[in-house]
Parts: sequence; C-alpha cells; structure tokens
Amino acid sequence: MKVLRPADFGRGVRVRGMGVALPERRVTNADLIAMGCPLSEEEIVKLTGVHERRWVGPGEATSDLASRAARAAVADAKAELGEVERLILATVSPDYSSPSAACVAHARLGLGETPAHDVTASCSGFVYALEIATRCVLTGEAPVLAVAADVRSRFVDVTDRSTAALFGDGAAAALVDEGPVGEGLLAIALLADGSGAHSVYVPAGGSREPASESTVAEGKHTIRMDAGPKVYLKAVEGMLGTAEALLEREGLSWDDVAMLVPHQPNRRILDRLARLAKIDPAKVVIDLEDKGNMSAASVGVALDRALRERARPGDLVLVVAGGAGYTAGAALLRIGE
Amino acid sequence: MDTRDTVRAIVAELATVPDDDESPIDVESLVRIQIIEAVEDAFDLIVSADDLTPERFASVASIAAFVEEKNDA
Repeated sequence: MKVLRPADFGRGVRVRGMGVALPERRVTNADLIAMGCPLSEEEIVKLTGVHERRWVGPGEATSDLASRAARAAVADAKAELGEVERLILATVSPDYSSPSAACVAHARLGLGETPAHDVTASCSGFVYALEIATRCVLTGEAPVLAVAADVRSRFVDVTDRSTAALFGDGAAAALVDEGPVGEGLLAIALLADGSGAHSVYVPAGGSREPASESTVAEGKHTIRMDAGPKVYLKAVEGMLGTAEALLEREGLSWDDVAMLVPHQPNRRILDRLARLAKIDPAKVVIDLEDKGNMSAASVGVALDRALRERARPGDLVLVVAGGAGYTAGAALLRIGE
Repeated sequence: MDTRDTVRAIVAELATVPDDDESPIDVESLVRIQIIEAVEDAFDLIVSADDLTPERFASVASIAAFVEEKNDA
C-alpha cells in the first residue's frame, strides 16, 4: 500500500470543482427481465439493491460521458478548459482498445497539447486518478482533470445471474488544484493485489485472446465474475484497509468521519462495509438504487452528490473504493471553511 | 441444533439443500454471498477473503467444518 500526503511536501491540494454525466436511457429491472435476465424484480432488489440504472444509447461511448462530466467539473470550479494541464481518465471500458478514451475526450474538449491518458484500475479508478492528479499538482502541474467513466452495459450478459443486474453507465470528474495546507485532499492510499486479476474480467478482446467468431459465440466479450464472493470480501477488506491506514496515519478514528463515500458495487457490500467499520450507517453515502454499479465512476458520482447535498465546512469525508484486480483506494478530504 | 443442522437451515432459507451434506450447493455468487453473511451472523464470526477457498462454502459439510475450525482457532 502507498500513502500520499500533500502536507509531507508542505503543499495543499483540493478538489476545486466536480461534475457528473449520466446517460438519458433508464433501464428498470422489468426492462432487464424483458431482455432475458433470469432474475425476478424482487430477487434483483434483494440481491443488489438496484431498482434501475442508466445505459448509453446507440453510438454513445465512454468518452462522451467523460467529456460531459469534465466540462461540468470545470464549470463548477468556475475555471476554463484552457487552464487544464492534464486529463486523466480512469476507465475499464474505453471507446476503443487503442487509442485511450482520454484522447477521444481530449479532442472533444479542445485541450490543445495538454497531456491526456487513461488509467485502468476498475472500480478504484476514480481514487487512482485522484492520486495521480494530486502528484501532478504537487509537482507544479495544476489544475488537473481526474475523470472516471465507464460504459459497462456494452459488456453485460443479460442472461448471467451474477452480473446482469449490477451495472450502469456514468461518469464523474474532479478538477484538482492547489489549495490551503490542511484542507482538501489530506491523504490518499492505493493498493493492488494481482492475485485477483481474473476475479471480474472480460476474457476476450485483448492481446491474450483477441476477438473472434468463437469468442463472441462463447460470450467471452462479456463480464465474467466467477469468483463473486471472493471479490465481495476483497473489495470490503481493501476499502477498510486503505481507509484505516489513512485514519491511523492522520491520528483519526471512524468517529471523526462525517461522511463515508464508498464505491457503490451493490447494497450488500455497503452494508457489510458499514458493519465492519462500526460506523453509523447514516454517515454512509448510498447512491445506488437508481444508478447501479458504474465501476470507476460510482464513487465519484456519489462524492459529487455528497458534497453538494450533505457536506458542511470542516467535515472529514472519507472516500473508499475497491474491486476487480484486485485494487483498492481511499482518499481523506477535509471540507474547507 | 448442532453446527451442521444450523448450516443446513441457513442454506434452506436461501437455496435448495442438496440430498446429502457432502454434495455441492448449486447457487450463483450473489446467493453464495448471502449464505456467507448468514453464517457470519449465526456463528458470530467474520469470513475473510483468505478463508474463501474453493472447497470451503461448497457444501453443508464443508461450511460446518469451516465454522468449527474457525471457532476452535
């Protein structure tokens, strides 16, 4: 695990603005069942907590959502796109295998020669992007757009009981900039454990098994989650482990946390997280019922909502994410006065 | 009720109980997670990711053996 603390460099880093983008199309549980999902509406709600999710329409892709979220974040910060010094896009569902989705979004945003690149860290992607953006700001490159966007609906097998009902599409963006020391992003922790590389994955379409008629016939272009229970436990352990490392490093406890903003994989994981952290469930931000699991974007979308609707000056906000890879991350933020 | 009886009752709430305790419980991952959580609640223990080998949580007998091993530890 790696922990980054801007204060160790005598600097402050803050989230100057945030924005989100969701597709227009709403897919209810009844819609999924009509498409062939072998679960009842009652089972879907009981197993996942998801009532509906947003899916992109024909021709729409990850960079479209990422661009919209990025523009919203820049507008929220009352900044200009011309100020942006780097675009980081966390995704596991880029528009193309090559080039990066960040480059497609870059063209749409008109970012000139500003560097742009993707980051692949599955459900922890937003926290990974925040961490890299923070490193950029600490070395004088600011502001930086940290975006997380995923369109998992293109990779869902609606007949698979384990994954059919989980995923939605969406994007979140944060404009990360210099700030006062002791406010904003206090610390970020990241970890990876490659033993889970095949825990949730899309088997074909990469360099190991390129797409072919047989891979498509076998559905290998869709998400597989054969080790679901292990991923579930690992995600919670990763989120708890990184969160507790940050709290300990800062001399804080769960009681000091005003809001816990987790990745939103499914309701059961969130309940388990709250139970094991022994945190008041009212402090846990749940933003899942009408969006589903948007992979990298989920925690960013939940953070955007939490900051707008619930955050008060001085609040300590703990952002945690974990999932496939395995990967996990946590970010500790102090809301400015 | 002994450990196996309790495990069998938990599985019966969430899935079809196999004819014998050694046979695999045939459920998808989301239900298997519910079984894990119910076992945690019933026996006041925490299942870690490292606990979750393919053999454990496969059958009523393997779950009961795991619970007894965990409680003895």
